Amino acid sequence: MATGSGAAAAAADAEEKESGSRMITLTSNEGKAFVVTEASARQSATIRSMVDDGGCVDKGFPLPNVDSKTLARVIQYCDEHGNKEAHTVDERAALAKFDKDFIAELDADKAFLYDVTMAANYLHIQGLFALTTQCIADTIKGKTPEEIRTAFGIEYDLTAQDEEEIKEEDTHA
Amino acid sequence: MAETVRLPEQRRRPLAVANLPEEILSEILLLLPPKSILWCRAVCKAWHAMTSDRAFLLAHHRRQPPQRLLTFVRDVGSHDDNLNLDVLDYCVEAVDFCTHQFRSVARFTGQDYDCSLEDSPFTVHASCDGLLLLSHNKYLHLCNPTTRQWLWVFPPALQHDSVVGLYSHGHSSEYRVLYYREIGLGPEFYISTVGSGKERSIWPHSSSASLRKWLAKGKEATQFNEPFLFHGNLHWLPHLGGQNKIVVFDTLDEEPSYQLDVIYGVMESNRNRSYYHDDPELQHA
Repeated sequence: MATGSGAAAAAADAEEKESGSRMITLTSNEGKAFVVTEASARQSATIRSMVDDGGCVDKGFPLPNVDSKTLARVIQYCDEHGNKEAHTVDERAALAKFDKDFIAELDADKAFLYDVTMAANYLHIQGLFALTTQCIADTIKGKTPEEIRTAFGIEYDLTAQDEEEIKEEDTHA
Repeated sequence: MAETVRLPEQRRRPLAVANLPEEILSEILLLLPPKSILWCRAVCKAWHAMTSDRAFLLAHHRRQPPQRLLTFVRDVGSHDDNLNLDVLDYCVEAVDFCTHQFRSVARFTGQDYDCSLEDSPFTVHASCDGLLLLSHNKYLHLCNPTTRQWLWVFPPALQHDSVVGLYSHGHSSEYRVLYYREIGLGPEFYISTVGSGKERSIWPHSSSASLRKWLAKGKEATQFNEPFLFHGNLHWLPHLGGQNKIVVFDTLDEEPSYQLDVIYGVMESNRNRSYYHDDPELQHA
């Protein structure tokens, strides 16, 4: 992953073109440019379809919904999955270990985890979306309503009537 | 009793899981097992609404592995020694053939019944889209085991009606019960939309000759074996030693309008009751 100004990105892009592998520039909503390999960018179905449609590859892709911190983390995932092979058992095990460490780190900062989840959804990065949503689901799993509210900072807004209804359902347990 | 707990690092912004767009939150909740869904319903208004949505519940049901349902009546003993009444647990459980585990689907407690007098007062009649149509003491209910919502269904009146099948009618988001009533000459078939309180007779007003023939035979055999839903339509396998047709009830037209010939090769070689087609061009008899 390379970062830099737009000009530096363009230069890197041109350089890569000569060596046969295209580079693609992704720009965060803060205007920061990230230069990634095409293989890495293709992890995103959104970007993949734009590239295949012959879209603005040279101009790069502005991503108005993603901030720099989130984009950097998303690219870290895409680089690993886009640039590395997953043919042998060892290669697949290495990727699985990467995923495990990647999500463990994200899980420690929930707000950031949600940002990455939203970016994965917006960019249609299927593997990353599955990884983050499963992580959030695992946090919910096995928790009581009270524990879920505490874990996720959700305000309790059920009325007495709602509660009565839910209790009514519960009596059929 | 609002309670908001965030890690120091997260305090700088108000983002919580509840602030995730609904489409993403829904994707997350779909990953949860049925028991967790039940708890999610009591978290807040937004989660309760989301997990009550029919499309959500359908999507959730479709992600669950197909499981065989079994019904049990368990004696859990008496709660009061002075009363000589046993307390019974009526349960529906799903068997997971991969893990050999039982998962509770529905359960309620009732008092003892005299099993020498009649069959169990508790019956599962049909299922569709993860909903169960079950009865206890002749009271019929449609139940969603995931949300534990129950709805009393009438008609049919089980004192004189026998449930044949449950299906969702086209895209109208209505569930309908197909049943028959024995009166004098033969069974009369009815459809009732769940929640409507009304019924509509569909037979003997049917114009289909083949259907008439089949119903007559079904009556002779005094049993309509359990139908299964395939491509949204109810299918009956042929009776043993009876006619060699699979009968299809078209749930859109609400007419058992065609019958399928059974291909013997398939039926003989693998006795797993699976049958052949995936072709919309069904052979009409």
